[in-house]
Amino acid sequence: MEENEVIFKVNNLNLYYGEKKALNDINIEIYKNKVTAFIGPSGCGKSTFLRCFNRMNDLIENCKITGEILFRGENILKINPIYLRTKVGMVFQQPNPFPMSIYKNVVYGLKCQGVKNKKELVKICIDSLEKSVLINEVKDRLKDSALALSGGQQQRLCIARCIALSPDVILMDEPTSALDPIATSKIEELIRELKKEFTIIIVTHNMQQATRISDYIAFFMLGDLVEYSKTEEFFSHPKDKRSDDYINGKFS
Amino acid sequence: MKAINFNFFKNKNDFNRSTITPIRRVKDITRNLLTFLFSLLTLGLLVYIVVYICMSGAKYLTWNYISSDYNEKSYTVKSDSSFNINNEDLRIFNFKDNSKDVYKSEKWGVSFKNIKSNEGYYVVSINEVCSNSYFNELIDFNGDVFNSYKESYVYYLYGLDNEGNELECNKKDLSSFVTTLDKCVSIDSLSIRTFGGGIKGSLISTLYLILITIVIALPIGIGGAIYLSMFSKANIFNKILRSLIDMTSAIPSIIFGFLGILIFIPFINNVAGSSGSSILAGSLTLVVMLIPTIVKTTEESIIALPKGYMDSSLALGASKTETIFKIILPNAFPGIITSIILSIGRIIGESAALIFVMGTSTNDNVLLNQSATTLSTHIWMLLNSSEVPNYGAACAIGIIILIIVFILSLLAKIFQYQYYKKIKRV
Repeated sequence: MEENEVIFKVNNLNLYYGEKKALNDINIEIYKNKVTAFIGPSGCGKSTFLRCFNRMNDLIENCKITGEILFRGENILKINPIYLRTKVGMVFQQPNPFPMSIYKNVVYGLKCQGVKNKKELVKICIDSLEKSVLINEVKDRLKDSALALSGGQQQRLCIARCIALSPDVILMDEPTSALDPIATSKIEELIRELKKEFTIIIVTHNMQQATRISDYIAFFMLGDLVEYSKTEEFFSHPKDKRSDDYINGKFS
Repeated sequence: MKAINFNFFKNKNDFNRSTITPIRRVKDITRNLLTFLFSLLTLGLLVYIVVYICMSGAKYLTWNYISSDYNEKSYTVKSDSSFNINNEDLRIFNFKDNSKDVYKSEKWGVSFKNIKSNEGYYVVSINEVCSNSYFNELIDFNGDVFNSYKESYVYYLYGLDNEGNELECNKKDLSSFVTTLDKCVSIDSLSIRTFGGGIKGSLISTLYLILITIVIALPIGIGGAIYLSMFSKANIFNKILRSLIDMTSAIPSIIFGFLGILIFIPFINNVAGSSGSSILAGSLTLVVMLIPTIVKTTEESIIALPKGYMDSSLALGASKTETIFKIILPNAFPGIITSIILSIGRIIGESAALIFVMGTSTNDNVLLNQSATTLSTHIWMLLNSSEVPNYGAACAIGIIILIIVFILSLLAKIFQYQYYKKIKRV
């Protein structure tokens, strides 16, 4: 593990929803240009933890965070969330393109950042659609509504929209759980391609998917980080009894 | 593997006996019958109201009724002092309208006709004035030549006959009037009135009222909706605010009329220099009445949007305000249109509050700081002010209101269809 560059370093992170403690003293290092998968049973806090990386938890009332998350040595809990979110993009479970044209969807983030040059916007749009392997399917209809696309295409559009801001990290919250197997395999292929350029953190319920695409696995249970290791190690020699049980389906 | 035996379900008798008992069947039939009966009743009532209004209002609904002034204008004209028709050269008059019910005065070159006025009684109206008619040489009391006889009727006539006797006619009888006129050699005074009772003023004030009210109420209402759906925290203040909004939409409008008298009329009197009720005061009162409706409808359409819009927009580095103005509001557009339509419907239908705040005197030259009637208060006035309520004329206004509401809903549907077509949801 030592040869990898660390992009996120989380120290003693605790998260409370009101009185309830949702994350319990998490310490983890996320490596650059790797795919890290968060797995665990429902309600274990993996999505909550993911949302800490771009501070989406700020939107939830009564949510309190202690500890620190260092992004290149800077504590993200102290910096401007709008700046942070341009550097740490996020793709959600449901593909949710805005009800406007494909082009406008992709350049939405940039326009909010104040980029006005039309040529530049078009160039970045084409570029992002190429990176998300969507360009061949939509190049003739960039002005058409994004809602006319299929579910898988919509999800890739959401990834393109995220890439357009050229972030360092892409967070994915169960990005394929609403998609059919073919669309899922396309997204997985895309993730493998994207990790050359971006760091990817993905939450997934599908252990086969985690095996296929991830380099590192973080296993959560009841708000605790139980085990964090390389994917092969995790599945072949789980260190913790609970990981072993989970892999073998002894509890869900 | 053994195939499932579907015959079990096909065996009808068996199925019926086991599940649908006679009591259940009777209950079902009763419920269905009741549902149909009440639906039919509702539909029938609505159709009856619309048909009744259309039947009784249709004969009053003319272009003249819509476009003419409410208040009559009267003119008095006379012939030149030295004028005597027998001294003039013989003129040939070419009447264009030769219908049976038109009475012509070949001597003067004018034709008359009995017409039902907007108030509903018959008057001797001036049907046609030939281009070379002597009527075009009559002068008014300033000595200017008078020739605007359009849309007017004759009120009385004083003239001199051949022997210098004074002739008089103020009857509403067409033939005796024309006979009297033909005996005259010069006219001492002829009183002409334009048809009054038109609703032009009320129609224009209604449009003004709608425009001003919507322009003021919409931004406030949308702002309130954004606050409630996006910014408000679940604290006691916001709970009170919400229940206040709910309650306000249930307050009878006459209460808002008091509010208008106490607050808005003095305010407008100070600001716009009007005295008493005015369109501006009326629209401010309506603004207060409409804000709850607009807030509720807009808020509902904002809440109905996918929650993912807000999250994914924020995750793309947009601020909350940017998200609201670029994503949330454009997508709440159909809801906003609905709220506008509801508001306009309420404005057109409102009468109780406006009687206090906007007044009941129809004004033909509509001014924003003067009192005026809307179509609804015009109906109220027609049924209230004269001794014999004019139901026909009131129903004619009813038809106009129905048409306006129909056109508005149609427009709203078209807008919404276009919107959904644009984003491919239809």
